[in-house]
Amino acid sequence: MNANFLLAPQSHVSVSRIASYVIEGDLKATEIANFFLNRIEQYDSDLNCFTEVDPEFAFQQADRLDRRRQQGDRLGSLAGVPIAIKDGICTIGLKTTAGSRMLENFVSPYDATVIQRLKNADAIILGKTNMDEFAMGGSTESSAFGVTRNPWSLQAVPGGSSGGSAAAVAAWLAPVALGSDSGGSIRQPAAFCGITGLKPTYGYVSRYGLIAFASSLDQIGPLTRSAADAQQILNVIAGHDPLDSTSQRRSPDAACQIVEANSPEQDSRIDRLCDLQDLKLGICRSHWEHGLNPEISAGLKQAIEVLERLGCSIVEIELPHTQFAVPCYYVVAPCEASSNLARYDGVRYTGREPAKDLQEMYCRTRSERFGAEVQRRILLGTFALSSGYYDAYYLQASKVRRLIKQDYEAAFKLCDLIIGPSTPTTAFPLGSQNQDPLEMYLADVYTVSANLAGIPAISIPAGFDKSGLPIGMQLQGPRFGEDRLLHVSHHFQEHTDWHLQWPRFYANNTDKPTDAVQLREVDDNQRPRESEKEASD
Amino acid sequence: MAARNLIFDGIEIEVIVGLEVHVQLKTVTKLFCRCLTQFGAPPNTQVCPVCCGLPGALPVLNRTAIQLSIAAGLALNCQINRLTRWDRKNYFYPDLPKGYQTSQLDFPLCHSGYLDLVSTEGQSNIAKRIRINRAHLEEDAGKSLHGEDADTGCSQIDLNRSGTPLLEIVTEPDIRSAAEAKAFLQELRLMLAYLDVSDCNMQEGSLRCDANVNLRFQANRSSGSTGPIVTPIAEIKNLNSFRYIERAIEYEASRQFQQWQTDHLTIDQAPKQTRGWNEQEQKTVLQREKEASADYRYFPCPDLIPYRVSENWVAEISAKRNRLPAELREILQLEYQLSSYDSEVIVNQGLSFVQYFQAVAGQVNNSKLTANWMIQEVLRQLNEAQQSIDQYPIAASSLAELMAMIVNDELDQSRAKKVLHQMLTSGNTPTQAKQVLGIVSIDDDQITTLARELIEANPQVVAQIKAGNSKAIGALIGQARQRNPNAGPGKIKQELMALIDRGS
Amino acid sequence: MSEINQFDQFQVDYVSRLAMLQFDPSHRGDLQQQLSKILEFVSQLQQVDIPAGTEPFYGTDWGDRLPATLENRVTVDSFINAERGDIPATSLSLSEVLRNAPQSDGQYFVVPPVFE
Repeated sequence: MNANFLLAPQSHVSVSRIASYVIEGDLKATEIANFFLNRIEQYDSDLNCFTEVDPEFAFQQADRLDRRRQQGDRLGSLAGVPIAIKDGICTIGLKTTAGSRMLENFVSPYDATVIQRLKNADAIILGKTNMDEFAMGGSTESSAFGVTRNPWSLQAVPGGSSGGSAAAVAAWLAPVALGSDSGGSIRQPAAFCGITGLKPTYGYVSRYGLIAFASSLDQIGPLTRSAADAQQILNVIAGHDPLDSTSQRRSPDAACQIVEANSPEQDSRIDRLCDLQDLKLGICRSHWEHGLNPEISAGLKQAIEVLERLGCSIVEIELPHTQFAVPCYYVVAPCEASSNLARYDGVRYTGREPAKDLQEMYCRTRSERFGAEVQRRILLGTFALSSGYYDAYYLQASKVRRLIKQDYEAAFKLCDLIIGPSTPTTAFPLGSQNQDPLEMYLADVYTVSANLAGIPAISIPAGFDKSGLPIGMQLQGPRFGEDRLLHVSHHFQEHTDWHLQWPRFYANNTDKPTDAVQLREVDDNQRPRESEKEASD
Repeated sequence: MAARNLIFDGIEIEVIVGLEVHVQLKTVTKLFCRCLTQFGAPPNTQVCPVCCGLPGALPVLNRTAIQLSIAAGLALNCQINRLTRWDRKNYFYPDLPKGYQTSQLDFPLCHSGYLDLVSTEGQSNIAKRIRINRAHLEEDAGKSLHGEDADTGCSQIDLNRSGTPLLEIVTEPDIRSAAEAKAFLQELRLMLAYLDVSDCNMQEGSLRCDANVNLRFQANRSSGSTGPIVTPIAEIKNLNSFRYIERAIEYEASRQFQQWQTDHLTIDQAPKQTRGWNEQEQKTVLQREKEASADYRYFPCPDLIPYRVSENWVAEISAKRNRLPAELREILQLEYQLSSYDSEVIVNQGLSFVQYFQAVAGQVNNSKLTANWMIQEVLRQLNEAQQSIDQYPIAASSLAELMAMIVNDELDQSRAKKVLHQMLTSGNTPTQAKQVLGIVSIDDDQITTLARELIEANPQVVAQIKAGNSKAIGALIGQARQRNPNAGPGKIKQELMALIDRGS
Repeated sequence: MSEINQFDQFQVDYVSRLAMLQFDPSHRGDLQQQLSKILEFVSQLQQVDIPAGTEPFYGTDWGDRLPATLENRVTVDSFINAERGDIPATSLSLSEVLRNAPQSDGQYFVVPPVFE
């Protein structure tokens, strides 16, 4: 077989399948890496998903893996799976810029914990993806390295800040990607690009090596084409890390497991969520009212009907303080950012502007190498922490944050998950939100609450608007409720095909896709369920 | 040490001093990363992503730093907060890699304690209690070497020290003189050394001190003011020796008085100043008036979670801690009957010295003699060799043996000193050293024989003694030592007197 | 309350100085306007009625617990001090430390003169 089976429109080749082919020797890791490197070569000049791809670097990792397989080594669960990494995550061997001129030539001497874990699972680090500068933004337009375009419409933004990661997965330039989410930076671009994006519980995935924007809100998570893939990645990256003091002690083995019927080992993990009977979905009415695009609203209603047919029931819940989530977020996040970004001072690893004395060096370096949005947020945060204003802003916001968290705790006594929109609009045109920062902030209205409360949330595809842009549906769960989120998302995806749609342009391929399933029998217990079989049933 | 108020221009001045002491804790690794804390390593060789402030790096707390801080806090009679939190103090400086210092603002690990100072003046002990406001844990900055390159004036940055754990001990403004400030620091340093919490080496910067100084006095009626005058506070930085601290406070007191005489500004009318001590010019120099740069924008560090201190752990640390200097001074006085001066001198040498003393005195029935020998001979030898007691080549058991020889009058003090010197250079035991020096013990019969011979050979001297000139016996003792240098003068004298009294 | 919801020129200057940022005078007016608008927006937080005894939440709680429904699946204590033993690890090499530095002399980072 050859790697072209990876291109199968109206279908999806799962991460587990790629890994099992590599483990079984049906495909070489180098072939898979080359397949994606070729697609990047072919398409990324238009999309600009990647800030750095080093084909040699990727190829070498794959080659090493192939040799190890030949020697009979046991390979990890992501054997040969290429993965794109948001450029705010530190990697040895590839530049880590966080989308900023400040770090335009920065090469980290260490790997983030998540990179270490991916490598241990034998994934292939494909390249670094574009992002809003220091993750501050929702369109990837604030990157110092050019805008990324949405594969569904080159005139639209991919969302942000993990826009490069989302666009790369949507255009199948990488099967999966890592992003980070401080206020929606995984879920919003996932929604805009028609893919699945999971923000885990705060503390579930190590932040060691994630360039901090707002430390108490940042969380790394997967951007994938299915909930099953998200789970595979989460299983590898999640778990306690002694290098991150905010990392929670909860073993990854106990983590979310999508229950698949044929697997005997999973019987023990089957809980009451095995099917969706009795699952209560909470709806917060106020989140469906002001500002929500009616097409999104209509799309989500259909999606909820699907879930109801699958046995879910709907309960109304209230989250009264989430109306203050956006202002709360825009105090807490800038405050932390103003301190987190003080280290970019021109002394140790940043660029530096010439100056006659230290003071001038600081000011020129920071003013000329940080972009406008970053500077605005630093000023805002500096102000909100400054003498005389701390209580009115930072302290007050932190108390409101408590109330938001308590709202969720109360809500999850009434329901198992909360369902709603990921974004108030679909992907907006490039350049349309540059003028007014406040308008941009308000686009985070549905996503920031989960970060403030520290709970997990996922965005999954749930339709398209009239212009063909994807609609995202958000599920929020209680702390460490990733299993519910992924379980429900997986069931939903088994009964819908929104996540199997391709942006047409990137599905074009002269080679005929090969049906890999016919080639070789794989033990059913090892074999993940094939999405395309589902789709064609 | 007793605070005597200064008199300037006939006005009695009260000097008010509060100290902020930064003590580097004796951990193997830094506060939030696993780099070594060794002093003197080549620049930037004890640096990792965390203490270099690299993007994405995160802190993880060193448990031993907490343990040492609690031990110090308990010795300072502090309350230990059961829950502490980490706060960020934000300011820019090139040797502060993250642009903030991780410290404890609202919940210091230790607070509300005191340290008692006792000094001897004449016959009476004078006690003074200095209250401790707080003792909190924080990370040190790196080092800046300014203007090293004469052409460019550029500064060099070494981050080896960055992230070293510091305990900042803040006193209440209870100190009333430069001498008292020095006494406080000396006692604090001694105590921390006894606890093995810090090296407290001021040359290496493991103990650093800032002093907040101002004055309080009644103005002359002519100045038109009623009530006491309180001058603006100056914070004097960079006090890295006891001598500097004394001089800086003394200088600052007279400067503030002169300043007040010129401008009559009091504490409410002028901002707090930061001043530095200039050793060359022997004066404090204005560095900056506190203003915008002091807006540190403290907030809870989101990269660290609160820290819980269990009751059990505090009890365990308390039970295991070494004795404090004050406790040992009392023991030396009560159990060993030493004078307060002797116990002070011995305790001031450090814990090993005290333990050595106790080991020797435990085997010798004369603590006072042991104390004298340790204070005079042993200390002198250590100073000459620039050694600590741990490096002293003579074992406590050997010194005890030597002391016993003196007590038993087998050696007089001057010959014992020779023996000690021989022991020091050769590593011999006292017995071996005596042999090398040709000193042999003689028995009582030999003493009696020698005395008889002397009495027979010197009838005139004996007659003088009998006539009441007891001093004349010295001549006989001198002859005895000529005839047999091993004859102990005490014993020979005793024997001579007995024979003369009894005799003929 | 209204006066603290506006950024005046003085505050822009003061905060810029604290943050080590500088702005072209021609741009400062726009900046002041933008910041004032954002500040006005976030100031709605001051209208929130905070019940007495509400502790601020900074992202990780003292004694943060898992939801009761999940608790029984978790074997480890839900709150443990984040700490480590006093055991050294290898530091970076000097070349790694200085590799990204804009200016160094092979031993130290080098910065322009400090004028206090």
